[in-house]
Amino acid sequence: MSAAVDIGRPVRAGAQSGVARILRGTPRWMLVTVALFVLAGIAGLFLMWSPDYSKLVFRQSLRNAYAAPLTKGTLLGADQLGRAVEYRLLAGLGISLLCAAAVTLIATTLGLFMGLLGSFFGRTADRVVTTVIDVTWAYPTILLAVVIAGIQGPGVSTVIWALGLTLWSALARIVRAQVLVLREQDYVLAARALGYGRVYISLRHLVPNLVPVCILMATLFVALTIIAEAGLSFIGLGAQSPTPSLGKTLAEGFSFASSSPWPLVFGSLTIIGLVTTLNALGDHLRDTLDPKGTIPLPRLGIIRPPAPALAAPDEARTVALAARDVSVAISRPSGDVPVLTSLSLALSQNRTLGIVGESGSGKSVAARALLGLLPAGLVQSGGSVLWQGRDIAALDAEALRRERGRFIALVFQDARASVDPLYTVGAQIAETLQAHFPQDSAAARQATLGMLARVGLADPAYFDRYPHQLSGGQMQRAALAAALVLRPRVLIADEPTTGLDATTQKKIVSLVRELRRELGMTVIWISHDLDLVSEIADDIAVMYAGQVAETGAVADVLRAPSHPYTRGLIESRPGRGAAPKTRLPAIAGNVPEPADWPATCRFLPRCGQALAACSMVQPALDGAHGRQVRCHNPVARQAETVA
Amino acid sequence: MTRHGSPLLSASGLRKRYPGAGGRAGHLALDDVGLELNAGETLGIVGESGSGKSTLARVLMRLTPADGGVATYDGIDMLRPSATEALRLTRAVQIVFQDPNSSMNPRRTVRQALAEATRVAATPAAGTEDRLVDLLDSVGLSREKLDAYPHQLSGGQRQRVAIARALAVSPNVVIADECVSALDVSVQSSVLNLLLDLQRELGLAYIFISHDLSVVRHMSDRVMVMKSGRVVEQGTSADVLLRPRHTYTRELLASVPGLGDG
Repeated sequence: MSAAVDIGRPVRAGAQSGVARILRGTPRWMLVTVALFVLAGIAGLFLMWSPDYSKLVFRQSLRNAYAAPLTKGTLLGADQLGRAVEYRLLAGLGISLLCAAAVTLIATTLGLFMGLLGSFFGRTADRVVTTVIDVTWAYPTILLAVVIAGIQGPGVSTVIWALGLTLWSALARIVRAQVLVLREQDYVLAARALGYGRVYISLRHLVPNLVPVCILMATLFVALTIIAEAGLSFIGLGAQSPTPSLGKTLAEGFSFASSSPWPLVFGSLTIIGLVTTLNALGDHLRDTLDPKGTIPLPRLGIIRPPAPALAAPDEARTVALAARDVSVAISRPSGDVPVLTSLSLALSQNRTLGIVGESGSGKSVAARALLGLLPAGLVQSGGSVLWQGRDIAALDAEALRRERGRFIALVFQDARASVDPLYTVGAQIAETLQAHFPQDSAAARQATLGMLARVGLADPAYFDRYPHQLSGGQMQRAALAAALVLRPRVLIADEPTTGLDATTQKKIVSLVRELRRELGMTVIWISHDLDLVSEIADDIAVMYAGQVAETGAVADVLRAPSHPYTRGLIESRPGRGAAPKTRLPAIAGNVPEPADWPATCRFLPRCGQALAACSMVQPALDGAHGRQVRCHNPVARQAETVA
Repeated sequence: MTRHGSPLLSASGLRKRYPGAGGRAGHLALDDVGLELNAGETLGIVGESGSGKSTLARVLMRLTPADGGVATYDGIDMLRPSATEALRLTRAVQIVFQDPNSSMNPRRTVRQALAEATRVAATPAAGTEDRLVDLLDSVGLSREKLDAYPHQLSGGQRQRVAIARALAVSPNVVIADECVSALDVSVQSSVLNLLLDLQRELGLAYIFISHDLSVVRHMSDRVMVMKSGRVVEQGTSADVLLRPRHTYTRELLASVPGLGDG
């Protein structure tokens, strides 16, 4: 068993509780501002309930009415009764925040409970909950406030109940939608398979994962309550004299605005300041919780000045695509982390190169680098890519755009994600064609129909189908048609059949093989599947941890692998040698993360044949006649030493 | 448990239709499906997406209710068990899922995940530190991993924890639903080895579900081929995968790259 023990990634310090993570990432000013408002509110409440309050607030009573700021012992002026505005605001802030806390507590609890009830406790519960949510959603808060005020009279508690009993539906909808996803997660299914009940699973597995969204909604509830309280108090349904609240201050200030604007001005400023901060916090939390928001901001790709064109004239003609020492790194504030190191390739016309690697091997990054189209957050840190002998760093953006598509095209693993769901398949292909080669739409339609037929979608009806009307296999055919309609010289196919059924995969593979011959293309086929690549490629490059570990003609490499990793990959496949139901030869450990790549041989921690040199010097990709291997102790030499 | 004679787990006539949108007929995921599983053997189930193989696993685990049919384990009705029978079933039949990214709750440690499973077990040692360490040891993980969170583990390690969680109740049957499909190629073989070792040591019976014919052939004693919710062919692993009789099985085999020349 010891051979199979995983070599773990270094354990990051500390448990990652969701709340702690959210707080750590929040800008300091937001937290400080919110904390100041809360402290001021608490101080206001203490003040209001202290015996000296009326003495403090009234100071010199009516003689001070309408005092301007910084006069007659006041800081922010006095209102129509001579009450100091600053004390009214402090107490009002306290009442408003108390009100907001109560509303948030009611709405969050109710929203969480109803959302869970609807999504995790059966269909009948869901039908009832959804109806209640819809009715609540449609019911105006003001109307409910009027009804409640009619029952118990206007006041702060009317505001609390009117808002608490309507706002929850917003959270309940989100919770319900999230639980519909969470309940299909394997760990929830596993807990059900262990016989745990719905209540237990809700508390242990669902609620903890819903905390972040509850926090986000709570900040919005607080902001909404502050504004809604102001509105309801303004129309007389909220706080009643002498109870202060921000809304009450505003309402009274408005009545006497012509005599003294200061209560209105400072009341409004307080509300604006508080609500703006809360909304900024809400925006920040939403970005943090949305996985798409965590992508690092793109840094403009640093492309090194063009290297002197090394390609000899005759080489330029036969070599369609070449990479020289191309390196790519993830740019992080803490420093760049390499994900692709010194990739050198030369692709002749009419050949297919298979790039094989596992997740994190850098194979997809290599494809994007060859296209000059690195995703956001990745930068080319060195080397050059040559398209027919021309360094793409020397091409301007317009030329690059023109050549992409005409010279080089890409087909993705997820074809559906690479098209616009709102346009028909045919229209999108025809549009590409017209953008590159101006022509009328009838001609573009004809050419598109011809290409669709060529990829096996012969029925003209396919032209007018929307992406969702095509199966996975048909979609991948359409994506191929879109890539090939411009007759590119080079086609890069990045795991184009992963996720498709085996029978569909076989059809796509033979289609690409035919088209390559017919159109005289160079194809780069990227896959994690060694067997698949052996069927389609002439040459193979096996990648491991951002480097090419071994490259050569497919038949040579697969028959006599030189790198221990290649050999491990081949032998560890079932059906390659080990009899059924017997142990397979396994490669120990795991594929390391880029940050954990050893400085020496990157395969060293998983290698069974390491020499002393392997832990000292990083091996270079070495060899002749197109057969190269990056290893100090390649497999063939081991055989010699054994023999 | 029954070693000879009647099978450990058997099902017949299982039917399941998923309701279609807007009152349409929907999708028939299981159409008169039956199977038999003997103690200690592996039944491989192959089929493409939509063949109903995962629905079958969910029905046997009562994660999805069946529309009709019978399934029994050791005389217990698997589809409608009483409360005490349900507990016996839980302790006897467990499942390992496909996705190493969602197999563990991201907010809970390995210790919490395993302790949750051991609490269901009948053994008095359940829940003790020693038991948890034993479980980790049996799947080739060291005890330092006990307090790790899922994001601190690799995909292969998380899948090992998922296997350990299934083993925590000392089951006789483990359903493996595409349990190595999402793993890196170089990690797949070590997880397959683990499953084979555990079968030998603990006498487990597996229902091994996969779209990967090479993997199924390596793991299975008997194989069942499914298409569109129906069983189209079944028999010993060698018979079905080396001498297929149904045209669909032949088509399936022909589309596996590299299988013929291995």
